[in-house]
Amino acid sequence: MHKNLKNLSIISLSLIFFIFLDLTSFSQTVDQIKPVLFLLSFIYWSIAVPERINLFFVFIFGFLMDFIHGTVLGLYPLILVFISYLSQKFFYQFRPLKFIQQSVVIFLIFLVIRFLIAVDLNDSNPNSLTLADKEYVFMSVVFALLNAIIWPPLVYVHRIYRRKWIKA
Amino acid sequence: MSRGDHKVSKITSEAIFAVRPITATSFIISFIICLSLVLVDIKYKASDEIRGYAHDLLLPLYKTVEVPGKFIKRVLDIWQTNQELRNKISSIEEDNEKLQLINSQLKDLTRRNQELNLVWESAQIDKDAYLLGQKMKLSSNPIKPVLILDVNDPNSVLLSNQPVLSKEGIIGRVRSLGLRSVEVMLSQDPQSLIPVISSETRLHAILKGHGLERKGQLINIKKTATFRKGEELYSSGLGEVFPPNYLVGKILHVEEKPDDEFLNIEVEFLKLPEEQEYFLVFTK
Repeated sequence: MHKNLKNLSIISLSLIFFIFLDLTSFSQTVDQIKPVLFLLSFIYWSIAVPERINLFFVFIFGFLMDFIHGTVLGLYPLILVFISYLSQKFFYQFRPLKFIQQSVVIFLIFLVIRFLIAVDLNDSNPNSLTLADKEYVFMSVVFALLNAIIWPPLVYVHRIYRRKWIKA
Repeated sequence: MSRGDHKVSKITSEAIFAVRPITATSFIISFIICLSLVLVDIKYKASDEIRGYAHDLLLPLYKTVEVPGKFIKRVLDIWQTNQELRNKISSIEEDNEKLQLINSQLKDLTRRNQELNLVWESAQIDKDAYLLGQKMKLSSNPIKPVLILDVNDPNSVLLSNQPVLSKEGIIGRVRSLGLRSVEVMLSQDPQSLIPVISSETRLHAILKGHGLERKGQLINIKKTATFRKGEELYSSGLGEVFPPNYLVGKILHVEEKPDDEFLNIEVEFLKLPEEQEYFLVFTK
């Protein structure tokens, strides 16, 4: 198999595996705050091997996420385009950061994503631009925090996987 | 490193390894494409036509995700002792007796309702009007709750907007159809509006969702209305989307705010049964 194709397949496989894990359902409350491993994995690959993550990934996996989460078509590709572009633009600055600093960045990214998803695009609530309430904000903070906490171990796992399977 | 993985500096002839596959131009183009897609979908609901088919493709994934859970459940079931099973059977028998008693009460209530000229059309509807759908996935997004059902019936006449029922009452309506997958907009969805009638005061209203595990609201209710706390809300059948006389929720709180033209009436929806595997799609 061509080396590039093999690398792309390996990256895709890890992303599909994390989508699989994300789909696993617990109670409704846990489901609302559990980390989105797919997005964390996507950020990792965008930073670790920016030359491999292209728009093909962004659109295919973005649409997949839109269908799974029932969001407006194009919202997740938009989020992934932003993540991918920012990751690839600033990966030199991001990589040398300490894990605690990286986690803070991840916390902010996920908080923004969560609020972006809550924007009232369908104008269901004419009095407000967002569907978020106090509970949603609280859950979003917990959600972003959990994603930030899980980021360092996930980086280690990805690093081992990358060193073993991804060839330069 | 293979050719094409890097550029060469025109000034120093040195290799530049940091080549971003997403350039500023492609980022802007992608951004415009995504934004256009979002706007088209908001305006024309275009994705509703394809979501069902997308879920058809994702069905194997949904089914595979369930395998570990089912395996663990099976193993735990095997480990249960006979005594536990006997206890369980006796408790189920007790529940069954209670249910039979409640059923007999319900029969009596139905008869009384008919006497009071309350239309109980569901009693006249044949069993073929319902299609059984197996739960595949319940989206965790509280703002946009989505239920995906697998309705594997080749003779079914499934259409958009058909109501979906749990064993307790109405829980939503069909939003998108695939070959065998059905995407359901739950009654808790902020876009969901259900015409309802109250059980005691017999007042009509529109029930609006506010998200999963959040209270619904009766909208545009004038302050002269006499809704009471604790009243049950049934589908009124107005609008001809939902069949009449199915339980939808219960009034939790009625508040009259001085600075508001309307009453603030909070409603508790039917609990979405997480354990329930099957739901009914009402097809007539």
